[in-house]
Amino acid sequence: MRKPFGPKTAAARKTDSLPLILNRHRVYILPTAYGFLFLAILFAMLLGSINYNNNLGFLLVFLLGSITLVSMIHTYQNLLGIEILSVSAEPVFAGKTALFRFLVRSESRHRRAVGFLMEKEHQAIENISVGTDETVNLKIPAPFRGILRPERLIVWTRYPLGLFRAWTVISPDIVCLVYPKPLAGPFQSAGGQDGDASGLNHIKRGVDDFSGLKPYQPGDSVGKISWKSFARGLGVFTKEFSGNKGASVMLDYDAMGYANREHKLSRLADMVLKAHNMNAEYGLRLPGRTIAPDKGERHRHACLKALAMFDVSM
Amino acid sequence: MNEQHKTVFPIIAALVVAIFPHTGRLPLWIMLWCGIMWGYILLSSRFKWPRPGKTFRRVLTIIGIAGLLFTFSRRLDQNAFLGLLAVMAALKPFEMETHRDRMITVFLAYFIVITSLFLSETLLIMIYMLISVCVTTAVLIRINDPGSRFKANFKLSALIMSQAIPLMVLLFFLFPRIEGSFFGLRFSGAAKSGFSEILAPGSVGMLVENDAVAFRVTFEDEIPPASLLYWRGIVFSDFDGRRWHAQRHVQENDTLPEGRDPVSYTVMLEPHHYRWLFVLEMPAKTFPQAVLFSDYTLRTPYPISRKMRYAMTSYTRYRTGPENGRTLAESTRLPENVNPRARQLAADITTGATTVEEKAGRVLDFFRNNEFAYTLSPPRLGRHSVDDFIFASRRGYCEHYASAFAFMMRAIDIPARVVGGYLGGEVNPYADYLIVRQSDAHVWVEIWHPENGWMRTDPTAVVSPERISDGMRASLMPGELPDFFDRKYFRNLSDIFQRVRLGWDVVNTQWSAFFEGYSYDVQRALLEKIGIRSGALDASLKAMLLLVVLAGMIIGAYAWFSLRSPRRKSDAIEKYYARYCEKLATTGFARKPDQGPIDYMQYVSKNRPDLQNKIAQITDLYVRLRYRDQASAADLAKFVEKVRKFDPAPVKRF
Repeated sequence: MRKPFGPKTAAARKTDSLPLILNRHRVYILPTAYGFLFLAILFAMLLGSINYNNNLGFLLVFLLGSITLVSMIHTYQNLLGIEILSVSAEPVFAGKTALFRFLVRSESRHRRAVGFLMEKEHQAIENISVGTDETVNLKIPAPFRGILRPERLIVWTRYPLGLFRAWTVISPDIVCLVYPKPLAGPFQSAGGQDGDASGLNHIKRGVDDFSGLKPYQPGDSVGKISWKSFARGLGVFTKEFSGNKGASVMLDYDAMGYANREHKLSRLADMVLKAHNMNAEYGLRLPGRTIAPDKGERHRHACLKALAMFDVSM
Repeated sequence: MNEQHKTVFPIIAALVVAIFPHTGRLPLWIMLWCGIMWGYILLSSRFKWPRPGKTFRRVLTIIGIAGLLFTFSRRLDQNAFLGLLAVMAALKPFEMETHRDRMITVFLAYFIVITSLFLSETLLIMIYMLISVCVTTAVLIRINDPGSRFKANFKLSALIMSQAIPLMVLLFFLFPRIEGSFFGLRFSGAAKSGFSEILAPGSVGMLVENDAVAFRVTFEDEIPPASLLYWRGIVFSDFDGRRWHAQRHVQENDTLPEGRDPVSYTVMLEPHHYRWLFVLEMPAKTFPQAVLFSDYTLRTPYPISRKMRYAMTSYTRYRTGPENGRTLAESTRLPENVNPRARQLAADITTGATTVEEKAGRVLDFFRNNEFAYTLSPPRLGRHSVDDFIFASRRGYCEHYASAFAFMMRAIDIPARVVGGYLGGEVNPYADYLIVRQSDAHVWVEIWHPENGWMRTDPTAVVSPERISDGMRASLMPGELPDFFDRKYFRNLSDIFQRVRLGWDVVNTQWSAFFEGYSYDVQRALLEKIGIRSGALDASLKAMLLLVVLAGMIIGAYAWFSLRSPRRKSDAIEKYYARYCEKLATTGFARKPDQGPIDYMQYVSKNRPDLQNKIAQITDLYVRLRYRDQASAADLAKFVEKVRKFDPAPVKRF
């Protein structure tokens, strides 16, 4: 049995609170491999200049050497003072890609070719204009349900000459909720008011019966907005269906006919989605936790979150 | 692919700029090779033509190397090395898919830049070097930031260079130099120029069309009259019937000629890759790098491959010391059976003359009175070259006269030898020094006088006195130099050209006197001036230490100015926020290091609901000032005011 994608406990590692500024204490710099190669070439040039006692050769070697040193300051400067304002990530289903949106900013200067690297392989290269909030999007695969908590963010640059690389390691407490991957299958419910296995049909029937309009509330499905009345300038209304009332299903963990916990959760996620799409009122019963029947986006998220976090220690 | 496309053109531009100074030096096929490869790459990225695959690239590499082996099979000198670099530079842009390939290609461009510096050290080359470095660095920036604009690349490149130049100057002066050469290797392939060991009819004539500078001279006092400016370089004392040879084994000498009217001057000799030094006749002293030979010429132990400066003193009126018998015997030696008519003539016209002066005068009179002409384009001479010259052509250049005169002197047993060097020079009116060009090359004769020693006799002076007093151009017949300068309407242009050239020569000379002369000795003198003296190693160490300290100061200054606390305007904000945190800490709720301002606000509000309002206001202002654009000066004032007035009473116990 595969363990859920469990985060290492947040308390176990030191995290950096956002917003933060990249200051001298956290920005490191070292020559790149090209930097070392270039120094080797300069050394060869120096030997040549000494041997032929060529003053112009000396001049070139010293010029290139000085350029290397100066470029080190420019590289460091390109990172120093960048502010990481915030990070957010929309929940995703397992198996999809999580998108972490960093909001970064530079007050003092334009930054060019700054790399943002997470988990060693997922990166973005961005320019940061002065005085505006820039969004940096980092995509990371989310294979398992639970909480995706990338270990650390590396902000790095080798601009302008590529001879030095400046970098900083940030461990912000960034999380992305990963819902279980929906697993298609028959709709099974238990313990609802109907109590039978044909709840799905019941709901289906109910969807068809239009009963009237009610004022739009945030969270109502966009698909059910009455565009006709909106177009007439009457305001935003949501269509109500007669089947909604009184027809609620309870999705029960224990009623799932699978031995595997993850299978059960995946099936439940699938049914939550189906019920939500059909605008049904549904509840969720997990061992140790029950969510009362309701509907809407907020409820959908609450249910999926409960599934995602089931048996996962924070 | 996109990144590659954006960097292909800049990288090729950097390579072209780097290789341009070698244009004339590389074989034609390599130039074509580079042109074709680069042209194809540029066109292929424009028209989406296919790039050669790995196999084809390998084939091209093999063809290129085969071509190099074929061209440079005779000797692998620095031209072969240069050819290899060019062939590689032509092929390298075919593989630029990765960042690594691009970086290495740019490094190659830097490397080509340094090779151009080993070929000549002029001010122009230095200026060009700075331009190439600026271009190449801009391309390097481009590679590391493919989305940027060229203009921005160049601006940054120029900025970095201007910051690097103070460091470069420091390194140039203080980086310890060593005496002599490191491995004892020297560039051997550079073309020799000027006189060779052999003087054949026409060899000086060839030099006359060469405008290159042989050396420059600054005099301590006035420049002596042109008729005394005989720059002695090489003595030809063996005649094989047609050509004069410099003697292989000349003895070193430590007796200098005696004389009057010493003239002191400094010569800046251009590298000619021979060993002779040119000095005014006759040298009155010698100097450490030079060896004095018994024929009163000075030579260096090594071929002169760099510009060389030496201070000299010469006597323009002199008397050489006694000569050993062997040298005198060798100086009358002539091969049998050559030039029989000239021998006869010499004997005939000197019958009755008793002294050396009288005999020489008779022969010179013969040249003067028989319509000999001075010309750059004499007819070809046969086996008996002196006979042909004296009895048939009667047209010749200085070497014809010197050769004929020395031959006739030897024929009547007067020791004589031909001296090669330069005569006169052009005074640069802008800086009062003398420019001696290859076109001032001249040969003359010296004959042995039992009392006075070796006496200079210049037969050319008899035929063409203008050559001595007014220089080579004045002495030639119309039409002997390229037409360009003779046309009337080009006179003015030619004048202007001449003036610009002289002005530029001043700048170049001042620069090379200062820059190229900088070496181990000059560095030692400079270090002593600033108080670093003592043993060689010790001085080097101290110089190194000084260098490190000063360079550290420059770098430190840059770092200080550019890496100061990133945002100065936030200093006040931070200060007051810190004060606010201190005040709150007195209530027992200190801010934990990992708490952001909002976390901290929530933490305190939870525990002290009574302070919630004030804390929220202050935190809100702080966050707005710190992280948002819209913050104004009024906000800052409000923030400061609120923090000042903020007075959290300790927790009340009920």
